Amino acid sequence: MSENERRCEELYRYKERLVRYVVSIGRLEQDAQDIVQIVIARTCAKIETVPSESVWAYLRVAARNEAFNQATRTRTDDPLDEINQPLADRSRSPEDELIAREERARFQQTFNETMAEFSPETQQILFMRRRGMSNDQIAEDLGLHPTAVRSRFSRAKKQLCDDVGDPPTGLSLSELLGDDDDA
Amino acid sequence: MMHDYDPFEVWAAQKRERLGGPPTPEEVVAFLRGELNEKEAARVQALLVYYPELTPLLRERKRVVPRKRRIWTRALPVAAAAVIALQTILLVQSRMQLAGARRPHVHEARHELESAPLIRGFGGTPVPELPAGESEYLIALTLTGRPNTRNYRLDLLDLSAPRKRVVWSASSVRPNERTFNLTIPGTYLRPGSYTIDVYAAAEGGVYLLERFPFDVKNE
Repeated sequence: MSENERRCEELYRYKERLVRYVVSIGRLEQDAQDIVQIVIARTCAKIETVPSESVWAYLRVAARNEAFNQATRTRTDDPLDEINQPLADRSRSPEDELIAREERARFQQTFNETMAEFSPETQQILFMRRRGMSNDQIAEDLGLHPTAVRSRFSRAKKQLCDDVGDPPTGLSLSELLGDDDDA
Repeated sequence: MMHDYDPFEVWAAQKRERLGGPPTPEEVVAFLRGELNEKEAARVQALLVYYPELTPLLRERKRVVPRKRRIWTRALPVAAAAVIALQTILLVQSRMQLAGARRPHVHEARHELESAPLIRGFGGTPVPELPAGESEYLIALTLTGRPNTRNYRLDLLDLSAPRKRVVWSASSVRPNERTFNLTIPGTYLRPGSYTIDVYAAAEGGVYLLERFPFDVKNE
């Protein structure tokens, strides 16, 4: 058995773990099985380019991309897509709906402009905090000191809340981002 | 009122698009191995953050990135801080020295030295003595002759050292009339024996013109 054949066989050790991952990002078990099969077969075809210490990272990214590609294809092919969209809030009139949409668009533009003023790392810190990660987790992932993460988050949050103006009714940036200390 | 709208998610979706969509497995592996240039590594890192289902892979980087690079990443800020601290200390020291030098002060005494015969054993002129401990010595050297030159060199020699050595020297100096007025910091003149040799620079070279020996003694 050649070295490449041996490594291809080893890929199947990751199969169950990979299926669980694909299910965790929102695919059905049966779809996940298919996606993992495709990904393992493709990876095997170019196994010599995959470093042995990064096999799991490679499979995971490939599976994620395949899962999303399939989802996109399915969605594009679905003629009922429009109809399947969640219905608008029926308690509001079309005029109210339009006004709310415009208000959101204006707010989003100011929000984007304020975010653009931050460094890429500060943007990432804000987004990760919004996703519910703690300062320590963010520090570990970005290779920063937890104190630096805390202080940058605290400053950026204040600037963001001060600069974006009034958010659409019912929305609070401060609540979305959580406390200055850990989420 | 509850909102489905999340400005962060809308912003992140636009950001993902601007960064070129999801990273390929090859890009992620190269990033984890530290093989991308700075710009590409920053892009892949951002993509791993903005695709939350890939974010845990950022932790894989620590196991894969060569250790040497990580040490440098930490050592550089420390070295930079040390250099800045050192420069600050040097700056403060030089400022203090300058402030001392600029401060107006009064010389304790003016010492007029006489030249000694250049030929050893000729004459028995006593060697003048200067008191030790002055912060600065104002010394006047008056030439006995009037050589036909405009450029002089002065050497202050420490004769107490095992081998006599020049502790201070000035070239291309001119006297006021026939007198050189020198200010020598006290740190140059510890108790001991010294001489100031005056050289004349002429077309044929430099030659010793006069010698002004003196001692510095504790009172």
